[in-house]
Formats: sequence, C-alpha cells, structure tokens
Amino acid sequence: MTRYSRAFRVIVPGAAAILFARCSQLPAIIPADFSQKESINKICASPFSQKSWRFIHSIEAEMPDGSMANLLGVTVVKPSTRSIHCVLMTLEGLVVFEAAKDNGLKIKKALPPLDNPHFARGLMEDISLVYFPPSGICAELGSLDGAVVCRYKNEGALVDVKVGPEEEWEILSYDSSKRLNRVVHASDIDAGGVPRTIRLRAPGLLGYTLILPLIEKERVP
Amino acid sequence: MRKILLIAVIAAGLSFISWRGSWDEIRNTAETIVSVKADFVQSKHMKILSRPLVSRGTLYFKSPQSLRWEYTSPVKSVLLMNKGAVVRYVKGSGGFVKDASAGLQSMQVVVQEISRWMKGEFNTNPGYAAELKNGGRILLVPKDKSFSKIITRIELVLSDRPGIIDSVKIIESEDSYTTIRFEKTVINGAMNDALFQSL
Repeated sequence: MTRYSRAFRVIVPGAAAILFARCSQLPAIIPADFSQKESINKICASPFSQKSWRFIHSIEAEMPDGSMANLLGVTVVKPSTRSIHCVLMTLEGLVVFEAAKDNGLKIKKALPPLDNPHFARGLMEDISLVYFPPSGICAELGSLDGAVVCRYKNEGALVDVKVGPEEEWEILSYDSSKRLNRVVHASDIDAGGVPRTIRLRAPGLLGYTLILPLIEKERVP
Repeated sequence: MRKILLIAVIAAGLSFISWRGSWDEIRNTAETIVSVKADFVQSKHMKILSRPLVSRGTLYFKSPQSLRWEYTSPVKSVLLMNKGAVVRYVKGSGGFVKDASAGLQSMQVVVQEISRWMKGEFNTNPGYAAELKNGGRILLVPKDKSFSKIITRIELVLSDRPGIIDSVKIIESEDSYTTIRFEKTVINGAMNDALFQSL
C-alpha cells in the first residue's frame, strides 16, 4: 500500500462541508482529521521538486479563437530561488521567445505575437504555478472529489493542490474574487515524480489550453 | 592505360566539384534537378541546453515550388508548401491538427528560402547579401535590420555531388543556432504530387 492510498483510507469521511455564503466557484473541502494533517501536507508538497531541472516539452496551444499552435519549450526551474529561464521555439528551432525570472523579469527575445508584455508575465506565472509550491499559508486541508487537497491563501488569491489516488495531481488557482483562473493537470507521473504530460487551462473568454508532453528532463546544478 | 584511367577519374572528380564554382554553375546544375528527397538531422544549439536538441525528418522537393518538410521526431509534423500556400499539420494528443504557427513571419521566410535553395537560387533573394566562398560554402546575410534580429546569417555547404546541399546552419546569435545536415539524398526520383497536397 502506498502512502497515498493509506492517507485516503484514514481521512475522516462525512465531516461537515464548509459552505461559502458568497457566490463563487470555490469548492468546499472536507476537512481532515487533525492527526492526518502532517501526512496530507507531505502529499500536497509531493508535486513540487526541491531540485533544479531542465525540461523540454512539446507545446500544443489551443488559442481563444480555437486555432492551434505548436512550439517547443525549454524550461529551467530552480525551486531554491524560484527562478525560471524559459525559451519557446518553432519546430524548426527558431527562437520566438526567451525570458528569465530571478528577482525580476528579463525578456531576452520576443517575436510577434509573443512580444506582448502581459504574455511574458503570464507565462512566468504559469510556470511558477506548475513547478513551485504555492506562496502563502496552507489555510485548509482535507479531501475534495476523492483527492487529498491543500488550500493555500496569499493576499486574497487561493491555490488548491490536489493529489489523487493514482498520484496524478491538479493545481487550481483562484483570483481574489474566488474565480477559477488556472487549472493544471499532471498525469502519467514517472518514477522520479515528473509528469510525462501536463495540461494547463486558462478558463474564460480569452482562455487557452496548453498540452505539454515531456520530451526530455535533466537535473541541473 | 593506367594513366588514361587516372586522368578520367580526376576529370570526373573535378567536374563534380566545379558545379559549385560560380552562381551560374550552381543554377545551371539545379535546372537539371526536378525532385529532391533527403533525410535530415536538425540540431538546435543554445546556452540553455546542455546538449543539442535533435530533430529528424525528411525533405521532399519537386520543381518548381513544391515542398514537404516532414519531422518524424521528437514531434511529428508535416509542413506543405504548394503553389505558394504554406500549411503545417502537427501530431498532438488529438491526432494531426492544422497548426497556426506556420503563419509566423520567421517560418514563412525559412520555408521560402528552402524552396529557392532547392532551385539553386542562393543569390536571387534581394533581402540577403549572398557570398560564394571556396569549398562550396555560401554565406547569406539579411540586409533588413529588423529581420537580422531573427536571423543573423545563414551558412550553407554544398556537396561534391552536383545539385546537393550537405548542410545548412541558421544562426540567430552566437549563442543560438540550428544546423541541418542532409543525408541519403536522392535526386530526380519519382515523386507523386499528392505528397505536397495532403498528409
């Protein structure tokens, strides 16, 4: 029995749900028994490596108008400093975007239509959401839709980290109005804890979906 | 007898090499080429990478302007250029899907250039300063400053075999460049038009 299934079996079922009076998309978490909090915290930390990695992904992007674009992405993430270096290129190897975030955002190259400053900021936020533990405090933990969940609060915004019984995980980000603004789904997790596929969805009228099959991963110093 | 054979071999070798001695020789040789099929190995070099990112595929060209640039790894995709129109299909989670990034300016330029090179027209694009160097090397430098922010220069190496390109190096900056090496090139083989019209 894995530690995940052990945790699921002991989470107290039937606990009173927390109801929200205001209209929001925020789902109610079934609170965990106090004795399970430490193990649940560990489970919620499991999607986030403490080590630095270089990932190469294929990126299938479904745009707001329904069109599809495909690029290759190289991302170096360093959790210790929450720094990111990211390159997007065409399949032919032409670099269309390169930026680094390390105590500030530096855009090294951005070709149209990726030269919108909001794009760079949004991309770095998406990468941080996928690879770094949420900022803020863990305000609630328990279960939701059959998964272990931890809810982090940071200046009004919320992030739910959900880890399912098959070790797939989801990260849901809500803005200060409790509106869902990002969903990250990681599946086909390898023995090293790295997802072979990541799906990121930004809901809404200007929303988009990214599907990122992993091509290569490498530890970096 | 041995002397005659030796002279014949040298003459044949010289005729092969001499096809790339001038722009006219290159173009005249290219006019004899109706189709090209070649496997390619593409290597992307960048500081962010610890080793080159390698992609593989096959190029098909049919004169005057049909091109199929097909990747088999790591991502399967097919770029088709036919009668001036460029479209790309990429295999994703839902099978092959039409890809919008074929419309990127940088992509259009590269595809147009490949088609020109297949016809031996290395120095006909007014957007580039073209220089033919010793050993069948060609240097293309964009004249437009805004375009030179995308590509700094392109270096091609022509094969000893008439009409064949050995390699292309597309340099975006000193830290970022892509090399494409062509292998198993077949010239003037049979090529169905359907190759350039659909997947």
